[in-house]
Amino acid sequence: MKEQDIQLMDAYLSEELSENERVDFEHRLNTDAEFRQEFELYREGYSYLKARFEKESERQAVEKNIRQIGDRYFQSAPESKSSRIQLWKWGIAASVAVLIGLFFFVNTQPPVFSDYNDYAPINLTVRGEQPQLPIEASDAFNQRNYKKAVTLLERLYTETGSAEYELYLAISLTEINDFERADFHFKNLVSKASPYQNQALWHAALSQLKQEDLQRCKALLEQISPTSEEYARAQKLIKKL
Amino acid sequence: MPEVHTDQKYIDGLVSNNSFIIQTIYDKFAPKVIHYICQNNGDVERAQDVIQEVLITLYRQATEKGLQLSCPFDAYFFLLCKRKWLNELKKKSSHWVTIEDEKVSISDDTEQLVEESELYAQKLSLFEKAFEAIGAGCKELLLAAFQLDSLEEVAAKLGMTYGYVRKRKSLCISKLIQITKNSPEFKHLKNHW
Repeated sequence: MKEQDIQLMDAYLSEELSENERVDFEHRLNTDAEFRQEFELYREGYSYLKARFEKESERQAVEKNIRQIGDRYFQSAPESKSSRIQLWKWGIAASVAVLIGLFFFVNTQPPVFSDYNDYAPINLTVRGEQPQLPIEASDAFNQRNYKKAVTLLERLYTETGSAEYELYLAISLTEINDFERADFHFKNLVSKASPYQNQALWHAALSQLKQEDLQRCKALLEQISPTSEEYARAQKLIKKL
Repeated sequence: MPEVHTDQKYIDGLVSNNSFIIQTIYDKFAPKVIHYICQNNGDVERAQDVIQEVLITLYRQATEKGLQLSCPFDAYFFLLCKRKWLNELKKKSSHWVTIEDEKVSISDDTEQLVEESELYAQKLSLFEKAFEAIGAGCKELLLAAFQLDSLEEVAAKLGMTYGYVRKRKSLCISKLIQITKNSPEFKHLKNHW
C-alpha cells in the first residue's frame, strides 16, 4: 500500500479531511475494490487500537474486577456448585433409580491421578543448539511415549546431571509405574533445592496419588511454597483429598 | 435489526464495571459451564479460565463494537464457553477425547451472535499478537496517539515534530496490519474482513 494512501485513510478515520477530500475519499472507496479492502483492514486495526488505548485504565479496571469476582466465586467450592447441578439434572432419573445409588457414588469419587497428568508440552533443547537427543526426548514425552522418554532422559540426565532432565525423567517413570525410581528422583530434586523443587513436590504428590497413598500425597502437597506456581492447584487438591 | 433482549443488562453491566452484575453472571451462568467442562476432559480451573476469557472478550466486543444482545444471555454465554473449550481440546495434544454433547436447541439468533463474537475474539487475538510484534517505538507512539487528545500533544510529549508523528502513526498502524496479514491464522479469517 502506498504511504500516501495510508495517511489518507488515517486522516479519514481521525475525521481530519476537508469536506471535498472526504467526498473524494468515499468515492474512491465505492469504485476501487482493492482500495476498499485495504481500508476495511486498516479500519479494523484502527478501531482495535482506539478501543484498547482510549479507555485503557477503565479496561484494566473491568478485567481486574472480572478476575477478582471470578477468583472469589471459584474459591468458594465451585466443585460443590457443579455437583449440585449434576444432582439436580439427575434428580429425576435418580428418583427412579434410587436403589442403585450409583450416581451418588460417581459424584463423590475421590480425585485420581488421571485427573492431573495432562502435562504442557515440553522443549528440552537449549537455545541455539539442536542436538538430537533432547529433541527426541521432548517429542517422546509430548507424545506420551513414556517408555522411550525414560530411556532418553536417563541418558541425558546421566550425561549432564541437569535437574530439568531429572524432573521429566521422574514424571515419565511415574507414568510407567516405576514408582521406586520415580520417587528416588523426586526426593533428590526436593532435597537439592533446585529451581524445580516445587514442581517436583507437586509431581511427587501425584505419584503418591497414583499409588493411592493419599496421606503421603497430602503431606507432599503441604510442603509446596505459597509463592510458587503450583500452590493454588496444590491447595485445591488438598481440599479434595 | 433484531430487537434488543432484556438480558442486554448483563452486557451493559460488564461495560459499566458493575460488580453486582458481574457477580450475578458468575452465580447464574457459571455452574452450567463448569459442569460441562468437567464432564468433557476439563476441570474447575480450566472452566474458570474459559469463563474469564469469554467475559473479557465480551466486554471488549461491547465497548469496541457496541454488542447488542438479541437472544437470552444464558444460551449465548454457554455456547461461547462450550465452543471455546472444544476448540482448546482440539488444539491440545494427540490424545483421544470423548465429548459428551448435549443437544441444546439453539435459535438462529443465538447461533449468529455466537459466531460474531467468535470472529471478534479471533480478530482481537490476531491484533494483540501483532501489536506485541510492532516494536517499542511504534507501541509508545500508538499508545500516546490514542490516549492523548491531539497529535500536537503527542509530538510535544515524545519530542518529535507534528508532521513526523502524523506520518509515523499511520505507518505504525500499517505495520500492525502487515504483521496481522502475514500471520497464518489470517488466511482462515480472510473472507471475514
